[in-house]
Amino acid sequence: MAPDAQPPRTVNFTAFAQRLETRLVSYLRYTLGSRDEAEDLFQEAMLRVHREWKQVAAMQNPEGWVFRVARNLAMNQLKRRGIERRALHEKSQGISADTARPAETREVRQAVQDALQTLPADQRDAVCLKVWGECSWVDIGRELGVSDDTAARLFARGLKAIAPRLKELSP
Amino acid sequence: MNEDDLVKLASKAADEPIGDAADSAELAELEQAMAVLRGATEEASEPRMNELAERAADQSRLVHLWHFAAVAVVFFCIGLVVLFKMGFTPPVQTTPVADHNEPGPVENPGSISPANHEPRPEQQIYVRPKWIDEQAAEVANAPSAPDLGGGPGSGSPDGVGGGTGGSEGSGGSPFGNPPGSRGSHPDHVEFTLLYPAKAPNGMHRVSSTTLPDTETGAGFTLHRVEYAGPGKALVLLEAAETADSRKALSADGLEGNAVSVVRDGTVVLLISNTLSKSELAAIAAKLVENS
Repeated sequence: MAPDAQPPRTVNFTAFAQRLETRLVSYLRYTLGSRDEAEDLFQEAMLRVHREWKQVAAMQNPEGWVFRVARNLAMNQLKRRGIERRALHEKSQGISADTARPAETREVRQAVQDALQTLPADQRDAVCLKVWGECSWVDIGRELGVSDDTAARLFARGLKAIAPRLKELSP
Repeated sequence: MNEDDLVKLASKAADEPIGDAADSAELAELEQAMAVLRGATEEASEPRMNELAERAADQSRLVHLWHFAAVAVVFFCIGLVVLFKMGFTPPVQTTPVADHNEPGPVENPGSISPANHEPRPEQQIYVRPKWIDEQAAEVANAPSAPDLGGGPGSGSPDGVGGGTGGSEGSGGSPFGNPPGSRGSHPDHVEFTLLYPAKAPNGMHRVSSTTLPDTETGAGFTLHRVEYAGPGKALVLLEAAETADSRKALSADGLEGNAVSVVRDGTVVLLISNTLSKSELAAIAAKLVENS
């Protein structure tokens, strides 16, 4: 986690939520493959933060705690769907909520989502935590239950695997 | 490219390098991929944050409601405990106070007078003298009018020498008309004899008797005035206003309806088998001094 990302205790909940909003929603979206579900889980995660705001604000790494909560919610959501693969297949339906966005942006996000869909779960998780969670290798390793070296390897493999597909999207 | 090199390149592309990685085409490709991924980040959404703010506010309100409810439950439980304990406390009857030094009408002398500011001794359990209960029972089981004997005007106007006609009607009562009390009025008795300004409907005075303290055993002289009608009975017991008489004539919980008042230095207990307490109170309010 980037050191400057830690909010001081005086930062109120709203400012904290605004700062995390885009990253957390993105993380949930690409983890779940559904923007609607990502929106719902973002609300749920932030309400949990709100309930325990005093404790969260006093933490050394409150954003890490929030991403952990969000990841747990996402994993529970995936379990509820039954099979993760099936969930990833359904994510393409969730993108229908993106119709209000410019077509180009929508296509890029769809392509990114499709690319991430091709990765094994642990690699996708490592990539999402690194890109949108801005977690360190240590944090990713803790979340995935592996060493920091292994977390870096999972990320590297995942990034390497989707790089050719993403290259086409690069302006 | 072996895996170690890949990790070095990917970690460098992710801005958390592990080891040294030289610039290369592979690194550029990975950096490009990272840029695309970061570019696919969701945008900030005002509606989304507004919804969050609303839900957070709702949550805060709910939390406050929970706190309020918890406090209410605690107070409710405390109240229940207090009520429970009070329910099992033996009834304590306060000493009827009223201000002893201030003669005058005092309604409901059984209550505690707010005018009495003197420190009061501990509450005492007042035991009503047995003779009052007997009087009440006698009135409650009063025989019909003919049996009560006595006709109108049987009581003398002075209230102390009369009662001859009614004495037969109240026969059987130890206080009805003791022989030694007829017309007697011990010197130490100083109280005003009172009568209803108007006899209750269908009733007439049948006796007026003074009962010395030796007869009542109450420690003070009592004046008994008896009214009767068809199936109706009303007895006024009067005593000089003393602490003992006030205690003794307290009307709380008597069989039959009873009301006690203090008026003109006289404590009056009205007992009836048919008149309601409100009717007795109305009579008591219209007591007039005997002339």
